[in-house]
Amino acid sequence: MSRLLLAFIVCLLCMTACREIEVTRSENDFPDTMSQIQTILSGKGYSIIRIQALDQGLGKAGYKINRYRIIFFGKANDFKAIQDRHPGFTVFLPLSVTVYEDNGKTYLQSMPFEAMQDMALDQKQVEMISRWRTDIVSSIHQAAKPAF
Amino acid sequence: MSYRSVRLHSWIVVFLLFVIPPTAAAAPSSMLMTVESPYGIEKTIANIKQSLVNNNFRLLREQNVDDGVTESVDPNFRILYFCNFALAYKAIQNEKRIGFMLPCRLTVTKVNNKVFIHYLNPAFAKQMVGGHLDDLCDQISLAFSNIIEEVTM
Repeated sequence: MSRLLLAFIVCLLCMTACREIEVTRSENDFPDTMSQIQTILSGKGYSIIRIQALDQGLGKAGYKINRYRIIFFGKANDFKAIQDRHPGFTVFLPLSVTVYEDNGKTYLQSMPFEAMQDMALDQKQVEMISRWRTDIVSSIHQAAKPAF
Repeated sequence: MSYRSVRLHSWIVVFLLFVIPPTAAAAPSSMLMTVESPYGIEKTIANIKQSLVNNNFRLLREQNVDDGVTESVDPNFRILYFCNFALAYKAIQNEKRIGFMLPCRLTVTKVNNKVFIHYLNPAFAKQMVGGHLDDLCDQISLAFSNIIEEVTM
């Protein structure tokens, strides 16, 4: 019985761990990483919508932080599908990748796709999020590799 | 039932009472928040802008959800991005991985002549990055509740 309980606890811990966010350390410097990730996402058919320079915004308000940028992007068909079928899910649009500096190193971070999948309302949406996950996680790994 | 068995069952009850509820409280389905507004979309957005100021947030930008991905944007799907710089600074200092929640945003949609405000429960951040943002998330949750209450009253 106690083994059963232990197994249950382990399962719960694993479920929590599975929801972690993908973070990858880049082997490129910050500008090259920013440039790489945008090129790669564009190559996969995503439109780059905007870059939010949080470090600059906070800096103007007197709060100094290392470079911290959020790249917003997406595909028109995905937006249309979500607007038509699951308007509440628009809170996750546009999609984003965060690029930030910490202790002189550059990191790329994806969205929490597994948790988003848990919120999906139907199979089509699960498949869409799965596709995003495949595209974006592979993109951040690719952008983290040396440019040349 | 033996003493050992009773003791084991007591542990299971304790586990179910104190370990499962926090996990269940963070169930993903409860993270997508939707509130119906009694007002039209423009009035709802105007109310949000006013309420953001009342709650120490600054509006950064208002846009259609699909701006930048299509030329035929749907004006019934809008996003308002906003920020409290002190809170954002504290969040990033404590947890670099918080970027997926930034900047704060509310989405306003008009579907079948009904207007809704959608947002991601700030508790989602706790679920994703851990408990060290508890106080901050609670503070932002409270601010979001105040904003929604002011906007829809």
